[in-house]
Amino acid sequence: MSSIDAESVTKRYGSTRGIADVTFRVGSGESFGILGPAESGKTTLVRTLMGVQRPDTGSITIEGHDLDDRSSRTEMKRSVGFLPSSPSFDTSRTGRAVLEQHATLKAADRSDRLPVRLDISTVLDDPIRTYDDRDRRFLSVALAFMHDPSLVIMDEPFTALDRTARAELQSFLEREHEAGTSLLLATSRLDVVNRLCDRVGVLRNGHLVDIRPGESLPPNGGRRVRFITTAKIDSSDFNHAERISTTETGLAAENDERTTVELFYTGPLSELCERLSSYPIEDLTVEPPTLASVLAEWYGVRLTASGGDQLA
Amino acid sequence: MAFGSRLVEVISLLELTRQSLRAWRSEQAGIALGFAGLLAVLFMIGTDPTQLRGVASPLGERIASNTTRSGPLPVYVPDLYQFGWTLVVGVYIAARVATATARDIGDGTLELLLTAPISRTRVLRARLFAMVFGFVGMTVFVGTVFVALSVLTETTIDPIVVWMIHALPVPFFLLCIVLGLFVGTITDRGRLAGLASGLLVLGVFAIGQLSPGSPLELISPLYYYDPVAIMHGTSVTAQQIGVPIVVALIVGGLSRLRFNRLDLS
Repeated sequence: MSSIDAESVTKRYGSTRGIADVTFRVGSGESFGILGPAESGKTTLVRTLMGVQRPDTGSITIEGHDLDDRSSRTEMKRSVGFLPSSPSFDTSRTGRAVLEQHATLKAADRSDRLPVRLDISTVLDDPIRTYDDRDRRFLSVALAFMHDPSLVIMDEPFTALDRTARAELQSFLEREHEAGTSLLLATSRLDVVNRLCDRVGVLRNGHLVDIRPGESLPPNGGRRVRFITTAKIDSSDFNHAERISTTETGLAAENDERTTVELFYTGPLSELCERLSSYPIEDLTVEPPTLASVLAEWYGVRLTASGGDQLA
Repeated sequence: MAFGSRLVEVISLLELTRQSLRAWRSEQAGIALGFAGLLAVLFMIGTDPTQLRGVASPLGERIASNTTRSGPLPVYVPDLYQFGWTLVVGVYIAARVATATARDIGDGTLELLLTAPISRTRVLRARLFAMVFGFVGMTVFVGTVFVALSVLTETTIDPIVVWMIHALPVPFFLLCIVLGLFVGTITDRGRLAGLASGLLVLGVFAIGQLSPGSPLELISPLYYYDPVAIMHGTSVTAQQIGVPIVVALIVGGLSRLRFNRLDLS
C-alpha cells in the first residue's frame, strides 16, 4: 500500500495558481522530497495533503484514507503526523500544556520520551513566548511524531534553524525514517533532500515537472566548478562536465591570456582533480550549486525575483 | 463505529471544551460577579418601599407593579434582567465566540489543532459546549445569589418565577453563540468578528422594539422575555421559545457547513 497516492491534484486561489495536475506516489517507508523554490506551490501541496485546503480537482489517498471523505480524513490523522512550516501556538501556554493537549487528542504514547530526545524537556514548563526558534520548532516536531505515525508530512522543517539545530533535526528524521516512518518533506534546501530523501519531486510554478532519485541531486549529482587558468582549455578533457563556459578575463602577463572557466561537474572529484592538475591553475572553487542554478542546469530556467521561475 | 473510537472522540471533545472553558472562565466569572454585585445593591436598597417612595414616586409605582403573588421584588431588578443580563451576556457570548473562532483561523492555531485526529465539526461543537457550560454556570451562580438575596432581605418570590427568569434567556443565548460562530467563520480578523457579532446581537435584540409585529420580532428576547409579566403569571408559549431555538439550529448548521468547507491559509 502506498503512503500517499495523489492523482491529478489541482488547487487554485481564485485566478491565482496554487498547484496544477500534481500526480505522485510515496511508497510505504519511503522518504520523498518535494523540492522547489519559494512560491512554487510546496505549501499549497502540503496543506492540501493535510486536508486544511480542499483540492479543486483530483484525488488524494493517504495511508489508505480517501481525503474526500470527511470522516476518513479525520481517521487518517491517527496514523499521520504533520509539521506545518510555521506552527502557530497560543504562546501564553506552556509547551507541556500543548503537548498534553495533543497527547490526549492523539492518544499518543511517546509524549514523555520525545521531549527528552529532542532536548526540550527543560523548557516545557515555560510559556511558549519565551522559546527560541529551535525550541518552537522541536516542540512542533514532538507534536508531529508523538503518536508514532507511519507517515509524517513536513513543510520547510528546517526554516529558521541554525546549523547545529539543523544537524540535530536531520539526525532525528534519519532515525525515524530508519525505524520505518515514511516522510514527505517539502523544502527548497538541496542539502536536506540530498541527505534525507529516497526520491525527489521537483515542483515548478505549481507543476510537478520531474521525479528523480535522491542520489542524483547535488552535491552527489553535480558541483559548480570555477577556475582560472593561463592555458588553453580543451573541453574534451572534462568527461563529466556540462555547460562549460570560458571567459577571457584579461592578460595575466604579456602574451599570456587568462581564462575563467565555469562548468557543472557530475563526475568523481578525484578525476576532476587529475584533469585539473594538467593545467596551470591560478584560482579554483568547487561548491554545491544553489537551487536556482540546479533548476537552470536541469530545465534551462532562471528564478525570478518573486521566487517563481521562468524559461530562460 | 467501534467503542474505542467513540470513546476517543468523546475524550477529545471534552479536552477541547475544557481548553475553551479555561480560557474564558475569568471573563465569565467577572460578568457573573459584577451582575451579582448589582443585584445585591438593588436588593439592599430596593426592598424598603418607604425608602424608595422617598426617592421618587414613580419608583413606588414600580414596586406596586412588581408585586408578585408572594411579595415585592426590588425595583429595577426586572429591568436589570431584561436589558442588562440578557443583552450583556448575549453580546459577550457572541463576541467571544466570534473573536476566538476568527482568531484561531487567522493566526493559524486552528491549523495546528487540526493536525490532531479531530474533525472541524468537533472543534465547533467544543466551542459551543464550552460557551453553553459557561453561561449555564453564570446563570446558576446568579440565580443562587438571587435566591440568597431574597432570603436575606426576606423577599419571598415564587420559585417557579425565579426559575423562569433565569431559564428563559437560554434560547436567546443559544442563538447568540451560533451567531458568533457564524460571524467567526466569515472573517479571520478577531476584533472585526467580535464587533460585528456584538452589533448583530444588538440588532436582534432591538428588532423586538423596532419592528413590532414583523416575523423578525419572533427571534428577539423582548418578544417573550419580560420578567415583570412572568411575575404576574403570564405564561410563555412553546412557539415563543421555539422560534429562537429553530433559528439557532439553522444558523448553527450554516456555520458548520461554512467552517467545514473553509480553506485555511
